[in-house]
Amino acid sequence: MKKKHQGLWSLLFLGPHMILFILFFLIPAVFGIYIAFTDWDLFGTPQWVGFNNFKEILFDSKSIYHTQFMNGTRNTILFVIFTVPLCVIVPLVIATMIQAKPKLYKLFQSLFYLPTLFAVSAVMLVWSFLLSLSYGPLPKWFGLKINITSTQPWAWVALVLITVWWCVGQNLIIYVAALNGVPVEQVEAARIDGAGNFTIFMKILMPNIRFPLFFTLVTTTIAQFNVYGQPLMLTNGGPNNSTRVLMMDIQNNAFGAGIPTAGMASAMAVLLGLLIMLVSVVQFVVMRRQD
Amino acid sequence: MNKFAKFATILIAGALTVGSLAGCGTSTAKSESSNEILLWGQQTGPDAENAKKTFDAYNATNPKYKVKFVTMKKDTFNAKLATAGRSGKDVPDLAIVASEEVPSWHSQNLLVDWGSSLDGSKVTADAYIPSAWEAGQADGKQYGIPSIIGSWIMYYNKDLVDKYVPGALDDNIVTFDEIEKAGAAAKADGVYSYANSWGFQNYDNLYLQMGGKWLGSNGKISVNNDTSKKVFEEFQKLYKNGWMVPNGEDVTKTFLNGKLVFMPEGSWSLANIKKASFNWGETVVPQWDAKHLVQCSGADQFVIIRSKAARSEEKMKGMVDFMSWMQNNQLEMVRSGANPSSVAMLDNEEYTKMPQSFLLKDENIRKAINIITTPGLSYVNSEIDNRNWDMIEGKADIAQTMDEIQQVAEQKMK
Repeated sequence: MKKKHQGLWSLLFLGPHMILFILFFLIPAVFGIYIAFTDWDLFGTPQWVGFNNFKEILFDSKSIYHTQFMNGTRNTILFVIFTVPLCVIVPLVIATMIQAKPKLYKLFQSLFYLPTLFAVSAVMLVWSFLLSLSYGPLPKWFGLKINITSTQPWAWVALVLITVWWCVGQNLIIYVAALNGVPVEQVEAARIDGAGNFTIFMKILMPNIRFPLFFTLVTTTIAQFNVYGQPLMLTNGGPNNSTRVLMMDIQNNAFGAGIPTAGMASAMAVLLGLLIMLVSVVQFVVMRRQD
Repeated sequence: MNKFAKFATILIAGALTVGSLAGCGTSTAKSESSNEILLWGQQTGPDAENAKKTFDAYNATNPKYKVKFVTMKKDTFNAKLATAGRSGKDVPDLAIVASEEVPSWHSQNLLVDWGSSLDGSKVTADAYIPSAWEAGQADGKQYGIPSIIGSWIMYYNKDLVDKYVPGALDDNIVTFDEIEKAGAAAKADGVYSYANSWGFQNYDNLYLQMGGKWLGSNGKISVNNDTSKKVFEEFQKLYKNGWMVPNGEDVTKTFLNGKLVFMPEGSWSLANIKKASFNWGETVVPQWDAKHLVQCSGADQFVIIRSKAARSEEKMKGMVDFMSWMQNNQLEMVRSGANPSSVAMLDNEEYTKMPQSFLLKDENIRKAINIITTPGLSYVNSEIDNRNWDMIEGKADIAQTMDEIQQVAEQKMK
């Protein structure tokens, strides 16, 4: 009888979430995978084309979708390589410094977290203004006469730094909480044994927070693979499509001007999803082995 | 808590969740059953305000079918019109679309032609500027009735013209030769002679002026040719010599600061230009050859959206009556810089005093107005907007980039 009660209570609490999960994730995900195997303009009836979309995207070098996928994937991977280490290391360093509780550390913690609260569009609008040749103070202060957002490598530098600035707070909160959970006795014992700050960090703190660290590594990697708003609003994929990421093409093919090619866009999204899964699995395997 | 109470709690929780989700959907005003013409537009800012004033004035005449105007941002407009049009439910009666969008909406079978409903009415071809009327046609049928004409024109700083290229405006036409001369003379003073604030507008105009054709011998869009190359070589020349406002600089600000002689811009930017503290004027876009005038423009069109619910003859008559009334009442809508599309407006005293009226006053210029409705060109224009600075700044090879643009347009049209 008690078990039955527990079952009903579980259902009551899980029910709303399950409904949302099924409606807004499971059904769209399954439908999206199905659409990847069709030719669909969003409005008519999807026509089954088997693996044709995938063949064209991966192997037909004359197709624009192949060009888009290759260029978009390359730029997305570059973005992940540039940003993920910084989005993990920078907040970790800041969290360690905050852990030492210097003066006004709570204020700094709030300041570092603040950008995370803003929508990507607001962040990019502000930075577009700051970097603008006509209005922005930054080019004037640094005496720059180039348009940063349309000149490489500055466009990449701007994209990466702004992204790190924007998302540093999210991981910072997790690291601060994790570091607070490290037993003080371990740190003090190490210090009595003559360990320096670096040794304590590497031998005591890091092993103690390895699970939150791994969690943030995986979630940050997934988030950065899905990058869209930053290059769209800051560089519009330029110069010369060098910052055009895959999500921009997926969105444009499905919902951009003209007749939508939703089947092709879905196939690209499925391939991106597979890539993210592959990278996550590799991260899991490497971390487990180290563990 | 008994079993029934628990079950009821779960049901209520589920129903509330689903109910709240259903509440997330947006409701769209239905017009089939009421005595109103639901009109969707994509105007924003002063254009939206002026359009609303115009339609309110029409409603004040107490027509049988009043106009309910709903305006939204371009992206939202396109998405909502496509969704509603495809389903045939909750569709507007009329929508105002850009002239170049008529073929695209028509090809998606979302439009109904005005057809015989215009018979015996004042809404006839000769009541409109010919190019504006023709822009509403597709497959030999009239799908659009012209609203107002927006043009990519050129503003100039009279004082700087007198200083650097005196006499260039004697014929009211500025050629690229004169822009180059102005650039060479003004450079030492840190003044530019040309600006590229909207890539495809400048490209389309110069391409046609240089004799370019949008369609190849196979009847399909064709832009990877020598003319396109020549167009971007000319822009490159202006840029590399330091005569063009650099990429990233605000063109209007540069013009208003008195640092730009000639500024190609939209006729809709009039409100901004009026802030200038110097003598300024408007003329046609810069020409490659003063004897072969080309002036690209767009004429918004009132189109009927296909609906599952049949519209009564009376309602169709109400819509035609609205179009007839509009012919004499476009004044509010042209205040922000556009030109009227109806011939009846050409003699309106207030309009003739507006600076943009030069486009329709001069017979030669009126004839030069070119409203492009070539199917597939919107794909080209969209790509030109993305890539034009890459070619101008020399970051991308012109021929190769135009090949890629051609490829995109061909594949998107499949």
